[in-house]
Amino acid sequence: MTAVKSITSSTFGDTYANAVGALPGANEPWVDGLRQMSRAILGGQGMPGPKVEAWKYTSLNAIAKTPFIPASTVDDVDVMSLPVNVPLLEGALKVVFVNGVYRHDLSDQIEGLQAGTVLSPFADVLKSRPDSLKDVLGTVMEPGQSFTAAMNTGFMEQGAVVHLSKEVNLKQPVQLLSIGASGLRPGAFHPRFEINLEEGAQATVVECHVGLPGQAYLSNSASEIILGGRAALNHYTIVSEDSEAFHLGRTAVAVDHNATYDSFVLSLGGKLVRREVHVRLEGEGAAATVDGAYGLSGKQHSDISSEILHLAPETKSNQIIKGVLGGESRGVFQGRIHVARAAQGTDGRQLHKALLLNRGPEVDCKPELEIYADDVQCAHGATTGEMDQEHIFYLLSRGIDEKTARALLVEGFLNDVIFSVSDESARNLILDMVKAWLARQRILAVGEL
Amino acid sequence: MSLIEIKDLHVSVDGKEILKGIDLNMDGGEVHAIMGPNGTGKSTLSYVLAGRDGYEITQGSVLFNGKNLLEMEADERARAGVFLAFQYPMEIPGVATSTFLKTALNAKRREQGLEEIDAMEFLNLIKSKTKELEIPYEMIKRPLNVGFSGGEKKRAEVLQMSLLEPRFAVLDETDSGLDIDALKVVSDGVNNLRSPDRTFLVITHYQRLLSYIVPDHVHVLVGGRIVKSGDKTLAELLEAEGYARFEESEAA
Ligand SMILES: Nc1ncnc2c1ncn2[C@@H]1O[C@H](COP(=O)(O)OP(=O)(O)OP(=O)(O)O)[C@@H](O)[C@H]1O
Ligand SMILES: [Mg+2]
Repeated sequence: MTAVKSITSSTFGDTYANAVGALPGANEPWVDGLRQMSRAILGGQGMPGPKVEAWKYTSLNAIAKTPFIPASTVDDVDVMSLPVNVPLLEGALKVVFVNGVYRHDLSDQIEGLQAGTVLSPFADVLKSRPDSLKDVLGTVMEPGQSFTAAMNTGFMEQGAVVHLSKEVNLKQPVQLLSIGASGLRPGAFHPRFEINLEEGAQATVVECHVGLPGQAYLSNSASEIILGGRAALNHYTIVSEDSEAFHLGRTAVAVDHNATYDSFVLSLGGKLVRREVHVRLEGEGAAATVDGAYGLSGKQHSDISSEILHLAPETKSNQIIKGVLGGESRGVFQGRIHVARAAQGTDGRQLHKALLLNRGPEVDCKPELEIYADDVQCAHGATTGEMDQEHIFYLLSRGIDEKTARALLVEGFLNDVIFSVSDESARNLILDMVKAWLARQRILAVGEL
Repeated sequence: MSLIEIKDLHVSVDGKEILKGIDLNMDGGEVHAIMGPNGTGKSTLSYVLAGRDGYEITQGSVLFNGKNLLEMEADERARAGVFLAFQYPMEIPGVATSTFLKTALNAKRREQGLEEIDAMEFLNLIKSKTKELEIPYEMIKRPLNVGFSGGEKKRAEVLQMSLLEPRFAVLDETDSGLDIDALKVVSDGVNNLRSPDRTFLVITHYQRLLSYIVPDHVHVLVGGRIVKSGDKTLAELLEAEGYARFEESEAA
């Protein structure tokens, strides 16, 4: 293991160390203990280098070299209203963060929702009723398991808590919108989202991570999700950070019996984006869909690292990740499926497909199946290739010019997996974002189709 | 001058000569049928006419409406009015059939200097065409050909043709995979498109199709050559006797 640098001493500098004492919940010993432990992990290991298996294909050097300050102390940028091109989910309850700071003025009214529903700023909960998080915080998002989780937990300050009591069906989707906006100095922020659905509860949560054009910033988010028996969560994560930005985010989910975690990650932007997803299918009949799509250009780097743990009988997981790569971009997919001895009757499927738009990009794909049960059905596959000439010819033969044909096929390649997003308004939002991305890449002229 | 004039066409694939001198003139309003054993070059001819890459034209020419067809790109040919109903239509994941149809239709309209089709007008057009071909309307919301049955794919090809109204349509085994009722529906669809300024080249193995779409001329393609041409009775003869006698003469 090579330690690049100790994150607390070098990367975030003294400003960070000074700010630490004032974090919400700091006077609560178990919260403080969790942060201390996480920072000890960061301090002890430093930033993981290429010899650490999980970080073999994604280098943190650029982050290590950037002198970040806590983004909440960035004072030379004002965001007075929502930027125009921010993706908005129709009909959703918006909870907005700018540089990791909850913005009451930009958010929707989140008090007084239907009975059995809590939607609160994370810092408020840590301050006023920390005990409500005691059995939750850090239990699935374990700092020891991931550098991304440790960094978030060590510095977590603001975010949101979504808690639904038994059988509550929150009809209105929740949109968590994190906006990065650095000024002259690059800021780092660590939003923390705690989503807890008790038995039989249902919700749709869309996370959007975006940024204003400008300097580099680091968005280091963590979403810790606990689903009780028969609960059902649609969880969509959209990352479209500024082209100079870094994004290290992790989702960790525990799924109890017959509950379903239905998720999609769309990764379109940022200089470096790494999304980690860790799903524990803990109860009999638990099921997860862990799909995703990414689009890369220039020298962008995207990493989707996924672990799906089948820990109980009759659990199901399904994963399709599709990526389109142009320029000299680099895409990484690491997908581990683990089937414990107890998880008889597991059904696990995984597929990664990358479409290369030219000769420049590189794809690293590392699927791993670890199966300790004998009655299982597992399949995984991966393909990387250029556009199918036969497909192009078919479109040409109908009079469609080559540029349009290629655009249709690239869009179709991604839409193929996006079509299976179950929530209609989230699906439309993702389709629109992909269309806009294609237009920005000049793969698709605006209004062309 | 005929609408399509194929003269001494020789085509090779990977250095192997597949078409060995095809001569064929087709006039406006005519239906020509090509029959022949497997692997004799029928699809090759259809692909060459549609402009697919990978074929080396070593000799000969094809004129379409007086223009050198072989010099045109595949999409130009299509916009000029050439259409190929594929023997094996491609499945295109993620591209809704309706999006594809609209894009193709608008490409043609742009070529003709027309505006893009209005959404309502497009919807109505599709509704009437799908009804005519007994295609469930829901199908056009699905990704193009993905998961369509063999017969559904063939119907979808004819739907495209009827939407794009080509001047010269090549149907490569459009009857294969169709059940008896579907064969009738699809044939009616084709017959409805027959007109004095539209020419069809119908490739088939079965006389049955030709009893619905009655050809003006029937050609037998064996070993990369047209070894015999005649009227519709030739198809009946072939159905009864097979290709043996032509293959013998080819070998000789
Ligand atoms: N890309 C290719 N590479 C090598 N040989 C090819 C290629 N394409 C076609 N051929 C050969 O050319 C010959 C003619 O093929 P073609 O598909 O035109 O036959 P066909 O008459 O349409 O047959 P069928 O009735 O079975 O559809 C066959 O022997 C085929 O194997
Ligand atoms: Mg053929």
